[in-house]
Amino acid sequence: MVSTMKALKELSIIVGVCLIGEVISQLLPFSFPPAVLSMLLMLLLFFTPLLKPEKIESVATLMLGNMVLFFIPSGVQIVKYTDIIKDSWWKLVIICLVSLVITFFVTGTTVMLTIKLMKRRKSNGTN
Amino acid sequence: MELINQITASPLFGVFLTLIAYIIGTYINKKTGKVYFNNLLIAYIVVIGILLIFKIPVDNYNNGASIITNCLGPATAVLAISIYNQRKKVKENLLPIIVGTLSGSLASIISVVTLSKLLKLDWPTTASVIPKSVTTAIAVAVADSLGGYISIAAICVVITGCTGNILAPFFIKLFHLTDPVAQGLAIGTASHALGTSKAIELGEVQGAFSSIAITFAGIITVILTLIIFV
Repeated sequence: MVSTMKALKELSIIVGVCLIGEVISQLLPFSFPPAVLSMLLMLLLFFTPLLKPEKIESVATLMLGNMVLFFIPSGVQIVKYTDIIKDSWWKLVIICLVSLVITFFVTGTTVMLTIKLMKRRKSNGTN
Repeated sequence: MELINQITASPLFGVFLTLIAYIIGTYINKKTGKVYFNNLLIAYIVVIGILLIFKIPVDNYNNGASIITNCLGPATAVLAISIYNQRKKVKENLLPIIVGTLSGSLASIISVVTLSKLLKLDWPTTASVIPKSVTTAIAVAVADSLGGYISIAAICVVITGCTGNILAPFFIKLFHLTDPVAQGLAIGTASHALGTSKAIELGEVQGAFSSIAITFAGIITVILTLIIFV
């Protein structure tokens, strides 16, 4: 069981890094999602002695394990756009499905090709 | 009616309803073990159902729900831990990871834009579908910065993820993806975290590379949309 004080410390580190991420994203000349920037900042810090993953691990695990909770409100806003949904729900479904197949195929096939080429180059190198 | 309005205007109502919906969704998902009983989808139905049945204004719900939405940033930032934990696998397979997630994300964006043009969707709606293959936190951010509707983006992410989860084993056979690294990267790039739960079932390598692909495809999609549309 994690002590409350440890959990609060972890939470304040996470929130602090996100706050810095938000400030940086506002300073940028283009719009970059602050959440993604905070993630990159966090990752960068892990490679320095300033922050180790263990320092935020228990709260982070709790958040990652229940991530879905944080997405509920944004999806619910769909009730504001009933006219769009009524007119084009089938278009949205078709686009999502067709694009899913294309994305899956392109990713899988290019990875297969890349791995094949890398193996060939490796075996050529040893010969 | 006035009473309902008064009760639901409290920020506690939005928080309470969201938590209850999450608990119900997760319970049903665990009990049935079926992908199409997705916990996010069930939670949406519970919340929207209650708002519609009791004629509760969505703004009342948002008074409290916005508190939960504000936690989305920190929850996204801690994804850094999962990339950090995979750093050895990432380093060993950097080239296939970058080539795969880059070409896949590009194919995703191009196909969505092309199909939206064919089906004559307006720009805000198109912008909401563009990030459909990346994890919700990033998708919502991308849709927002492109001028789309975040709620439609969130719904498209769930549709894509659920379908990817169900169809992934079929796609793997169809496209002859024999390498587990290719399988994992394809699942994660095309159908983010929802697909990844299937990748984990397929094997440890598939699961690891699928979760690596979520973050790579997410970041690459952010950068690509910045380059292409801004």
